[in-house]
Amino acid sequence: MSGSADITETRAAAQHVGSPVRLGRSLEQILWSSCGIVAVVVLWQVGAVTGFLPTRYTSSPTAVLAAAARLLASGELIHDTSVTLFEFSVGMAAAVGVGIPIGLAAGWYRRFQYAVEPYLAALYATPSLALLPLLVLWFGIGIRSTTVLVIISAFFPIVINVMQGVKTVDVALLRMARSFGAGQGRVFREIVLPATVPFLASGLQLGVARGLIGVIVGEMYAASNGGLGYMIAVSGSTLAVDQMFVAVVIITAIGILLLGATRMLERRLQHWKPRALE
Amino acid sequence: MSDSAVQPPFRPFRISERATIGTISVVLGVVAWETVARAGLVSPILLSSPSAIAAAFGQLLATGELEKHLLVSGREFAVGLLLSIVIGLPISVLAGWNTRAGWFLQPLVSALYAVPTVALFPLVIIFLGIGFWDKVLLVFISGFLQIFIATTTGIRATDRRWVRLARSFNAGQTKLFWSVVLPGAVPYLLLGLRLAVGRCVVNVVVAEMLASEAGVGYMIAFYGNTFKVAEVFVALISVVVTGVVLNQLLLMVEQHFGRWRPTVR
Repeated sequence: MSGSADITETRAAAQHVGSPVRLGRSLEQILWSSCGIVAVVVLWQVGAVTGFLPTRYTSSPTAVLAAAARLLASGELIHDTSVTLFEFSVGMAAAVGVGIPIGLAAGWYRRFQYAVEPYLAALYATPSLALLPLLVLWFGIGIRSTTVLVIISAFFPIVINVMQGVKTVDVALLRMARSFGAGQGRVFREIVLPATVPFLASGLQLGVARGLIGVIVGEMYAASNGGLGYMIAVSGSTLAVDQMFVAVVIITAIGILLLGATRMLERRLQHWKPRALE
Repeated sequence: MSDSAVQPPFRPFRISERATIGTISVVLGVVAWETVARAGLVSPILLSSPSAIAAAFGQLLATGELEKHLLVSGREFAVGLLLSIVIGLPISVLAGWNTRAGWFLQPLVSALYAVPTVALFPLVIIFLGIGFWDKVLLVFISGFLQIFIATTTGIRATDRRWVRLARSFNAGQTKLFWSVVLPGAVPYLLLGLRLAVGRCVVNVVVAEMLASEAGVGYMIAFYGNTFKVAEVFVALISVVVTGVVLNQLLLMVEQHFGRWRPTVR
């Protein structure tokens, strides 16, 4: 099969999504795509059943499903998931609530930007997860240190993106508004804020991804009252591999859902905009 | 505030307002930190102070402890990243070049990519134990995923016109790959490598924090647990500096390789 033809064809297929001519092709694609996942799951199960894989360490798909059912019935899964979601949402709310005003101010007031820039750059470059031992020292083991880690993880991408958004507002628009006698407040509301929205959205996406990792690692490192990361750490140290897979799958599902939601929000907020050049 | 978006005209031989305000702000911050710590407003055990951090840095450097741990982390990082390049590149080139291989591998990689890598660390420990290779594997996983995604994207983004052009001039598969597809994918590859390096540094440190007996992450966790905040800051700062230096180096490489192409964007 010719590789170059494949390349051109894939691009063509990408450009004609949904056209009936390509349906046969996409059916083949679906087949191949599902092949990989199915093969892994089947091999995993077969290996576990035949004793080729050490089930003690690798578990098996059916064992994971059974563990999920067990955890769901005992209410453990719901408890841990809600602890994680609680920490995540409180942290995100704080990061957004503080991050947006500071980002707007840093983008709008040049001198303020110069003053906070070194701090933002230094802390943005710091892996927030590495701050965990300090946070535990300052806020104790449990919900508080994890929530603060979420705030720190999500705060900087949001602030920096919002700041960039305000700074890249079209100068021509600003001049025009001023020529028509618009005041500071009006310019800010009608021109700066709408122009910042796409940047805010990408900051949110980064923030959500980082915040989610923050919750999990925070709970893995130091948790006292549950959470999915705690579940992973505990089942890891007690060799309950099936439980660990349940927790990992749920975290991944939450991540995919949340990122999908932020992407939808982004599209929604940009709806009014004329299509930009790609 | 006047036109905030209008850049002031560039004036050489003048200290910029940006540098001045930035420096003043940092100096004020450091002085305030030191004052608060000296005045005992917050327990020095929790806050430490710039002078204590400097002293701790000098001491850790003199005893060779910092170097030792940096070397351990550096080795884990380097071996893991190297493996992810050596193994990841051929696989991702195959997945980008051959459509069916791509269809087969893409969902697997996407599924793994959606998992926070660190969440897999307890599993990795079960397989490999606590030591050197567990960190290497964690670094390998995160590096591999990043390189795979960047490289396959780069190969698929090959301009169709160039492919047609090459074919019109009767270029064979091999020629097409080496002269058109691969050079086009290099910027993507380098970007992927830079992202991979960033993630791998974080993962080494976090893995060492969670379970290890040496390394910078171990330092952070150990000194945190023993209430030696100054030492924690020293380890943290060395991680940040390493990350920034590596990032800048790769950025330079990226710009170097990007120079030959006419500016598109």
